[in-house]
Amino acid sequence: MQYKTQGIARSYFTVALLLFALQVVFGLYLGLSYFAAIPQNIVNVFPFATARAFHTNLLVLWLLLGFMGGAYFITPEETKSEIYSTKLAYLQLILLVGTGVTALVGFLFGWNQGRPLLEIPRPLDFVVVIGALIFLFNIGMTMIKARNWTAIQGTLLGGLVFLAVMYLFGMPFYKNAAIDWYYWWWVIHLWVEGAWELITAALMAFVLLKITGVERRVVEKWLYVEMGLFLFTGIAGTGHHYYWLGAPKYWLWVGGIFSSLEPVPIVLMVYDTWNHVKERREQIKNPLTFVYAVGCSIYHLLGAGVWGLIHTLPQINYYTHGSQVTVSHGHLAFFGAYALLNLTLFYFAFPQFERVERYDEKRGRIGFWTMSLSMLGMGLAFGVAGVVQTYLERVLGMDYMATQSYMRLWFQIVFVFGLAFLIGVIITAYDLLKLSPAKEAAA
Amino acid sequence: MSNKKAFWFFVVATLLSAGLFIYLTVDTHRQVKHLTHEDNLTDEVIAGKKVWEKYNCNDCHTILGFGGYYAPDMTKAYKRLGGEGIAAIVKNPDQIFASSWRKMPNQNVSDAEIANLTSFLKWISEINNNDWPPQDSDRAKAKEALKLLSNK
Repeated sequence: MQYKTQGIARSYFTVALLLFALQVVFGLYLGLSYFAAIPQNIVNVFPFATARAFHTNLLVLWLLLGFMGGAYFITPEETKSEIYSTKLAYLQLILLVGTGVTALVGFLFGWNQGRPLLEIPRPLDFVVVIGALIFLFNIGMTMIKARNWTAIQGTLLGGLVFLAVMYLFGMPFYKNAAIDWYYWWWVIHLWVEGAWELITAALMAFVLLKITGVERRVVEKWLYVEMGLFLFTGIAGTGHHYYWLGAPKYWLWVGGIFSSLEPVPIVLMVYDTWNHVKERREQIKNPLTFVYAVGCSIYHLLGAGVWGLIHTLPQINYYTHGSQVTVSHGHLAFFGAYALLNLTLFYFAFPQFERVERYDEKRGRIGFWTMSLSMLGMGLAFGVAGVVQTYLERVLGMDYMATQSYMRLWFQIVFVFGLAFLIGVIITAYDLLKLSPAKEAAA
Repeated sequence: MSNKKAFWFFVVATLLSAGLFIYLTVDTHRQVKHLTHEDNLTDEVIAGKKVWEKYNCNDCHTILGFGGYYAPDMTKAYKRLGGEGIAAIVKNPDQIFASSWRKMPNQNVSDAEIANLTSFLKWISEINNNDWPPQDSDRAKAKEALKLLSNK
């Protein structure tokens, strides 16, 4: 850690890790609800809907805290200056976590906007906006004052502003439900397949630059090409969500064509990550960080690229839309692209917080493989459940609940993998927070 | 490719896609009025959308295919169940799903709210959304019937 204020990231990452574990606990409750008969009196007080709001909002919150912590970590090194205001950074963390906790407690009592993923009640939306503005101001001022612009900084700041602006489209009450969903996707899709991809590209470029020692010029060139392709395919690719909501027919063409191209930049990202690692000039200090970086790019390609591609064409999506196929894609993509990205950064940063040059990797590796393999198992089991649902309900027209009974076994398998995943998360979080030096180094 | 060229590639690619997207968004706003029958968007329908949101129905049910996957899609529920069917389920889910292994919460929704909710679901069911979902598609059912008849 070269700059004192990089330490701000530590608090962000620690809270993010705890929320990640909590998210998975609620995920297990959802998994259980899919196959077990939860008694009516429990359902009346704590319905599936509330647990789902917990699960998804915790996901968004921990990933965003990870990104923000990431920004506080890389900005000093990129700008060669300290963060503009440490106080503001902590105030922002308190504000956002406070809003998150208030929202979650509110959900328990039915204080809810009632729109999936955007359940946070509208008054709290304004607090989120204030938190985001403080964040952008703090990062922006640091960069402006330092006047040491790099492509990585520009991409990061661009991605963060893009993220904040898109959130605004989710705030109004839309009378027409079709228009409501149209702009809901401006938040969700343009986040995950736009703004977040920019942030990912910037954070990953930074980590690769540092751990491989590859020339900055080369890393930045790839960054521009990938960003161009991400946004070219991702922006118009939003159309793949507009097939069945009452929008004009041309979205079937636009969404189908652009979103079919969405895996291209991810393939490129895997290729250049691999190349940078192969042509590294620095000695490998902590191989696990490489495992995370390469693992993230491959999992990103599998979960977001391949799993997205298989049901993005309207001819297929007509049958799979809103089924467990979507759930399978959602889990693999969020874990592969964003959870692993955050964890890559955590494994890069935590040894620096602890001033441990080489850490003992045994526990961390067990954590990585337990999470990665059990998530793959979950994704596949959700996928099979999705194919069963698609065929029985969508093609043959079988009743919803009759179909669900044929999917029950696969939900039980999901639950078992989910338990394993939680164990992996706990091992990983514990490992990061209690990092111990490698034995040879300690000796 | 030089870094400068890579930068311009990024700028042009982004602007092209964003330009197309914004142009089509403007056109969608124009067409969506007819496709969703905005003339029928009465105060009851809008109040019904608020009821749908108040009770967080959407985190269990999908509508237009979006939302939770825990319970049936509601896009064409009005066609499937009718207003009375919907009202009966929302009012007494504990009795209706007494023998089911998946339950629906009883949220004590008032009669007036249920009436608005039904108006909303009726309006939703009339949206011209390219005949989705397939399980509720009349066209798909008619096709099946024709197939059966031709194979007799």
